[in-house]
Amino acid sequence: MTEFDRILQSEKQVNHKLVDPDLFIFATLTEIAHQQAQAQIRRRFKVGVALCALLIIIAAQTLALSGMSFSGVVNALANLIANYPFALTILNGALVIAVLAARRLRLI
Amino acid sequence: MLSDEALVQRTLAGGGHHFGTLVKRYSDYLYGFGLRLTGGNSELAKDMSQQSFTRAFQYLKSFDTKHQSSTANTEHRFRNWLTGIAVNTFHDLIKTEQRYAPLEDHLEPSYQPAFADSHAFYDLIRPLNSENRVLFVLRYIYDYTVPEIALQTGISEGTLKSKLSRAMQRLREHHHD
Repeated sequence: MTEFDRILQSEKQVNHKLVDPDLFIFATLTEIAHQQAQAQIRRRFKVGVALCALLIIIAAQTLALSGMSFSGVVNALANLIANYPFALTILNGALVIAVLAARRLRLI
Repeated sequence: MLSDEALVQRTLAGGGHHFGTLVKRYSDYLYGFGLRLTGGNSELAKDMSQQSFTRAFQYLKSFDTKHQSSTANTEHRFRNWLTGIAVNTFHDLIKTEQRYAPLEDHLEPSYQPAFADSHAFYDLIRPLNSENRVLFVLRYIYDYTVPEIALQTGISEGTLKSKLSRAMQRLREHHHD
């Protein structure tokens, strides 16, 4: 066996170990938890921005359809509730389901 | 003792603390791998290990998917997957960490008394660049097969054999000098 091979064989036998394994594991898991929290904050921010944009778009479209008249929108809503009394309940139910689904999917 | 795959599945099912067991199981392995790649740089080896675990947690779903779809050798599957992540982390660290520059410049690495046994090896692999060092260590220290290294590094088997052959030749020539 040459000196070269002996060095390789010798290194194969070496079992490197961390001096402070518990501290390393704690630091690693803390880092992972920190990154998870950061990712969740970023995700919530993105969802928030998307929801705001959606609301603005819906409001703008509603206004545009009502000839840019706020009273027109209010009248339309009043008529909707008068004609379909359960519309508001269904809308609220849909909102609750949407929020619960978003929580389940950890979006918010 | 739970298998690696079981721990991964439990982690993915929401039991994040199970990943701690995997970290404990493979921390010495990754640290040793890092030491060999960095030529005995303990701090950089720790950084590499920690970042590898962080990435592994981030991409854990991809391991689970591969595991379900692959029928290849199941032994040490998680370790092989983790090694691939460590290799990528090592390459990224070299790009971003200025403190690795001394190793690339072939200056003397800083040894610590705890790694005295490995001095000869660190000196031996010093002529190799980072990519060849990774391949050499995986093949000749950890005894991974060429197909396994190909999977871990994303290099084709033909290119891999060629690089390994050249690296070995270069080290033997350098060592005889």
